[in-house]
Amino acid sequence: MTTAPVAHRTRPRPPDPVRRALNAPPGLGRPLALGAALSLLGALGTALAFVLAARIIAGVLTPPARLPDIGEVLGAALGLGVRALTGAAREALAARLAAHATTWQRGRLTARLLALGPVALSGRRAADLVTLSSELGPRLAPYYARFLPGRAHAAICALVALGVTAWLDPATAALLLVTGPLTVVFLYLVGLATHAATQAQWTRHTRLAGRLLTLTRHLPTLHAFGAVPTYRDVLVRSAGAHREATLRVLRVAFLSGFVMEFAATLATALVAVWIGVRLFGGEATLAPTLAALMLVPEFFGPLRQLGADRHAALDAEPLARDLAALDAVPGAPDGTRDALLDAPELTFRGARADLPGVTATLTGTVASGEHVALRGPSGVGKSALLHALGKYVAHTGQVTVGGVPLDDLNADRWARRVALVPQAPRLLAASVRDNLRLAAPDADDGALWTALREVGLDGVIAALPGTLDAPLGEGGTCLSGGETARLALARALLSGADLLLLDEVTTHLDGDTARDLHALIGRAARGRTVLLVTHRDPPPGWRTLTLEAP
Amino acid sequence: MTRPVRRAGGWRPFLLPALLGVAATLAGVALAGASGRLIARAALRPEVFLSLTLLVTLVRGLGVGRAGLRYAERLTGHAAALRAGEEQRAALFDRVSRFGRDLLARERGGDLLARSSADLDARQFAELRVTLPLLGFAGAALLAGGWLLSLDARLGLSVLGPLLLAAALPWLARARAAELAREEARLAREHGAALLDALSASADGAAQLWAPRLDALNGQLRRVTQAQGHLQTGLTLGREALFALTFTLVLTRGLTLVEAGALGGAWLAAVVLLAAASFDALTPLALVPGAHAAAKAAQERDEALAAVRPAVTDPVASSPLPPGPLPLTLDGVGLTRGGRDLLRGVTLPLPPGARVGVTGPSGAGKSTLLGLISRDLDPTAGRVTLGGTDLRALALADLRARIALHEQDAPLLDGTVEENLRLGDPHAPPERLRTLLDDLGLADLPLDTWVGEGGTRLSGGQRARVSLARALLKRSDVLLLDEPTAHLDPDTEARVLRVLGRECAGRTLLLVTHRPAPLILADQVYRLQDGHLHPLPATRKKVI
Repeated sequence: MTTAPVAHRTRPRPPDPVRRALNAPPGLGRPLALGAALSLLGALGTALAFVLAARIIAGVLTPPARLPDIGEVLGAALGLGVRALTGAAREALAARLAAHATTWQRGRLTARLLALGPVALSGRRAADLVTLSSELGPRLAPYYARFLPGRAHAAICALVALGVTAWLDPATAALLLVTGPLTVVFLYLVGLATHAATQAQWTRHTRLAGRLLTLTRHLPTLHAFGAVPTYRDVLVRSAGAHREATLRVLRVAFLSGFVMEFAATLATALVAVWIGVRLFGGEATLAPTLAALMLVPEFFGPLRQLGADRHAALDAEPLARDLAALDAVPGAPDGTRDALLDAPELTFRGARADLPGVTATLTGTVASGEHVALRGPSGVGKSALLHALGKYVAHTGQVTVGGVPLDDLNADRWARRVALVPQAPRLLAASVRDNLRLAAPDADDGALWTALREVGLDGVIAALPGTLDAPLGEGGTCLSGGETARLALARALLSGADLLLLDEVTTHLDGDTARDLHALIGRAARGRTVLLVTHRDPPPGWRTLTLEAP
Repeated sequence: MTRPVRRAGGWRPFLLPALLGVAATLAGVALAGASGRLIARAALRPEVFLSLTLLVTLVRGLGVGRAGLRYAERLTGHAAALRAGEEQRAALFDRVSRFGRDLLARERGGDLLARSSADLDARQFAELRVTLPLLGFAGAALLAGGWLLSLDARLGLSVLGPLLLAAALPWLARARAAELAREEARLAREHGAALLDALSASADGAAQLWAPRLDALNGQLRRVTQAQGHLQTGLTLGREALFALTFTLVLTRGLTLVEAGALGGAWLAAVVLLAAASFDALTPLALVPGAHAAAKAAQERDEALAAVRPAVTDPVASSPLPPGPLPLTLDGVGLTRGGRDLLRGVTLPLPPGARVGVTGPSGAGKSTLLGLISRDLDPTAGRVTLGGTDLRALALADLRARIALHEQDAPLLDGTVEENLRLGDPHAPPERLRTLLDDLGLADLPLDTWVGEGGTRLSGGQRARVSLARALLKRSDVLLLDEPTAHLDPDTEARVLRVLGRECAGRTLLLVTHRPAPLILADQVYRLQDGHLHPLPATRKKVI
């Protein structure tokens, strides 16, 4: 029990897209039905064992005492054996279901992200995507392994226990029929009463966890101003206040667990006492009533388990919401045609990316091999238009490539003709060589050096220890912003793409460096069509296209 | 400060919850036994109902008491765990804060930090999830088994044996479970990294090259999940089979005993029900190995964090600093990072009251130069001195008390504008804060404005000026300004520069900028290029 699940069973039902994303994997129905059949078999086996055991005990106890025949003992053992086997089989089935469903979800997430390409990286932090992929297993597996099969299991076990009890001793069944639903009602009422408090507590808990993280993130500033001890005090004080508040809420929140326990044990006690009174009065016989008593925990147990399994569903929700959100981004339609082999000639008529918030459109042409600067106020969708040109997202209006509508182009083959250099290119934590060969795995060192020379980086790389083998990225050599941009440009040149889409590659550079880079792009990309998004003055001799607000 | 945190507060706070937990588990087992005894006695129709009253009361009491005991256990257990967590939180902050200004520069450190919050939870609740369930089970097994043993040795063993074996099963499987969990985490991380690489490559149209590798990783992950399932299946089968075995053994042995007259027939129901109920006490044990592994992994990560050495540490015995303005000198400073020389033989004297500007191309190492003075990092060659003493011999707090810093990205604390300004001077009168903001062109920014996470609710220009004001407010002899006017339009820039000129009178000023305007504040300007510092002639400084 953490403080986190305090908020359980009180949140509103998840919205539909979340449920749809969770239930998307195909082939969930059959294993679930099979699991339910196993639950039924197991519950019947348990009932058989208990009924026979009660009969055996009653036989030796009530006069005339008789010894059990071996069949009864073996029958009880058989019932329990069935229970053990079906339980294990259900577990195996659930594990296979979880493995299948999480693999499917991960595969789908991967395919979706690859289709979105740079779009997936532009809107969110890279770390979030990694979290999404690495949390997928731990968060979704319990949902498929526990929660989904658990619901049917709880219902079946409770119904079988109730049915068999009704056959054995209707009075006990009636008692269960009253206490069972009453427990659910009480749980619901307790949930209502604690809803607001647990919500508030959940927020506070997140804030405290966040506060520690934020403070550590601010440590540089705190150190610079000698304020570390002050803020440590603040942290300790707020943690103390947090503990007291948490305990106040837990006192109420644990009531739901209390109700469940109370109902289960009190029902057992009530059933036992009532049966005792009736047996004393001679209104009942021992064998069926003893079996009924033994079945009481089988009625409440699965209900209690279902309450615990709900955490699995709540844990899966935030992740499923992210998956659903990714699904909602419209992808570009795929076609079958190919663009002409020359450097692409582009025509735009009222074109823009089909994304929310993107309004400004582009009209104009870019000749084959021409270098054009693309301008417009920030936030109107210049980067998004580049993404649409790469067929990573859908577009509206008209875009043609050498006369062929963009939508009719085959996405895979078109992707090989296009290279996009983002605002902040990411270097792999690998050697210079591996970074350069990202899109051209077969390029030899000669080709790499040529590309490096074209972007004026050959001197820098040659000076590194290990030259092409020098490690880059996390923990490796630090390249400056300008050098990283030039390396990404070399990578794009090597890819063999004849349409270069450059997205604000000079934003973080000072004026001189930016001018150098612009001149260099003009030289290195000769013969290729270039579309350069920039806030600065366009390089001399480049034509400018401007996005227009509607 | 660096010793591993194990169990803050010791075991004492957990004594009461442990006792309550054992009592609650026992109450459950005893309830089953007493119920069986009650109805068996009742079925024998004793002369008077009164002889059953004690049992009836016992059953009722156990029925009500168990839920209450469990509730009390959970509440007291959480209180103890939260108290322990509080101490661990403070200890974690201490551990992280010794890194000062360089932790977040390390990716590994950042990773450890990001996990630390979940890890705190894992360790904080380890007692609740590991120790208490184990104690509860042990108590129940001991008492139930002990009673049965006292009745008959073979009867006791036929319950205790399978029960202990069933409890040991998850424990025996814990190494395999932990291994699978580690494998799953490793593969998931690799899949995430490959996914990121693929997305970076997608810009060059090469995403599809990664698809086979991603598929392979996904397949491996599937196999790990399945292996986890197999393990779980085995555990379930073992537990249930042992239950079936116990039940059958107790039943047959009990019958034999009744037949031989060694056990009253009325006790048989009690014995069978009690044996069955004692298996219920196993349920919470299923989660123990997982919680234990999580707490252990958290502990290991904590130790890994403790083992990371900060790049900059306090000297063992620090030299005292004399009061008053002191000369600051960079003396033949060189800095090598990742195999590249960022600075080579940089010498820069800053006598008290000097005003120096440094300019140069992006990435030349201008900010690094300031970092050497505030000791975010130490030079690989040469030395930086304050008042003739090497900075590495000074206590970090003493050094930083003498320096006011404005950083390029102007990081603000989550809080109000005033809270941020008060970092500079906790005791400044409110009018002083207000006037300074007004002078900097922030007249319409109330002091109680909430700045948002990292200052994101302010515009770049507002944030930069609040950070500048904060540095100016600090009573220190040395002022280090990194791109003080980066986000400002020319009018505001001129206004800010006037305020800076006024406020830094009498203080040593070192400013770093790639914009030309701020250099009018400097008496001497240097250009930093290719790791060398070149003085620019005084006449040229206006035209840069």
